[in-house]
Amino acid sequence: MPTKNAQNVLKASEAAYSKLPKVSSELLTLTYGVFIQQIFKTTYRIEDVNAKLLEIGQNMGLRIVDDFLSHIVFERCSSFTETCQILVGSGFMYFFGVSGTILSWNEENSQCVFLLKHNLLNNFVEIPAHLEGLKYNNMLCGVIKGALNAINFKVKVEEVESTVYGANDDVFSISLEELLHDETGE
Amino acid sequence: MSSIFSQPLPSIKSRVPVKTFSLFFCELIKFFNEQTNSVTELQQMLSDCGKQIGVRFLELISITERSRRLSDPEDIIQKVVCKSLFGFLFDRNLAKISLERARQKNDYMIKLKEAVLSQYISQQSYGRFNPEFFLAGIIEGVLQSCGLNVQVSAYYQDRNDLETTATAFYIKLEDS
Repeated sequence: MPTKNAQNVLKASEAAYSKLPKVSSELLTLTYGVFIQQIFKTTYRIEDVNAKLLEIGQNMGLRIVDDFLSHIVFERCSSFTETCQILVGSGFMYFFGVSGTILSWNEENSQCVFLLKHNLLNNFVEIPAHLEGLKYNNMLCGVIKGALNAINFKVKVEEVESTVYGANDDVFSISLEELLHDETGE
Repeated sequence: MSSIFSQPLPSIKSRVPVKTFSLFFCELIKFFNEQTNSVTELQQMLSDCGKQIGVRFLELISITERSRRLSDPEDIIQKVVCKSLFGFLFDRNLAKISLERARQKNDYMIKLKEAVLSQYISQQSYGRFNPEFFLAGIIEGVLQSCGLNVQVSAYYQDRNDLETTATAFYIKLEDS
């Protein structure tokens, strides 16, 4: 199912990932947990925390695209489906070391559902009952949203299933809302 | 209730690229900056954040190492922080550190040749704000979990040289 372009990019991103200097992933996991605790000190409402995580993810996502494109060179994507294949497969490989897998597409090819095994951010995380509704992975959703926004796709990204609530793996959905146009014409 | 206690402990050191952590770290600092009014407060907030992480790190480090009894502070700093903690956190050769005694009687300094976590943060912003207070907090958390009453702070080794990020972590042992 992945296009030839997407497969080549995946190989390139695996190679690039192996050369990057790295730090312990537990550091990222623990820092993320402490960070969410800090956000809770500023607001009681879970919706506000979820929104803040999404916003922060979007800021990161905007910068992530340039970083990826400057290190991995490949042909222009021919469709939204190919873009998502590269983002889910190679984007996660380059920045996280694990590749996501697209599970399905809807009929119009405007919405996909993908799976991420071994999500670093929620290793050994449990949500206490009074915080039910916290979208622990919302920062990742924001990153994807920001990244696709930077290449002119306005999308909605949501977590469908999450390991912090007992699911086996993390599942997300990306829905294309509209195509944006460059402000300055090219 | 299966949940997290039935999952196997991490057996291999799993890694994430420095750039990914940096992206997140920069956003974290931006967020804290909105909550604080001064550089000192910001550094303190980063240090507190690091401390919470540090107290949890000691267990992670000890899982993979043989248990041993250490009582001498210098031994603890050398073996637990310099070898185990830095070895666990960073790839080999990524963080070049050296341990020295400070001029004050019981204090130590860990000199880091080049900052790793904050390597993409410009030194020229916000006066001489040092993001390595985060790592200082982690070190403080680890040492306090070992039973040492310490305060750790981070200083740029050369205040005038803006090109280098060489940092010294000053470990002050409080007499108990």
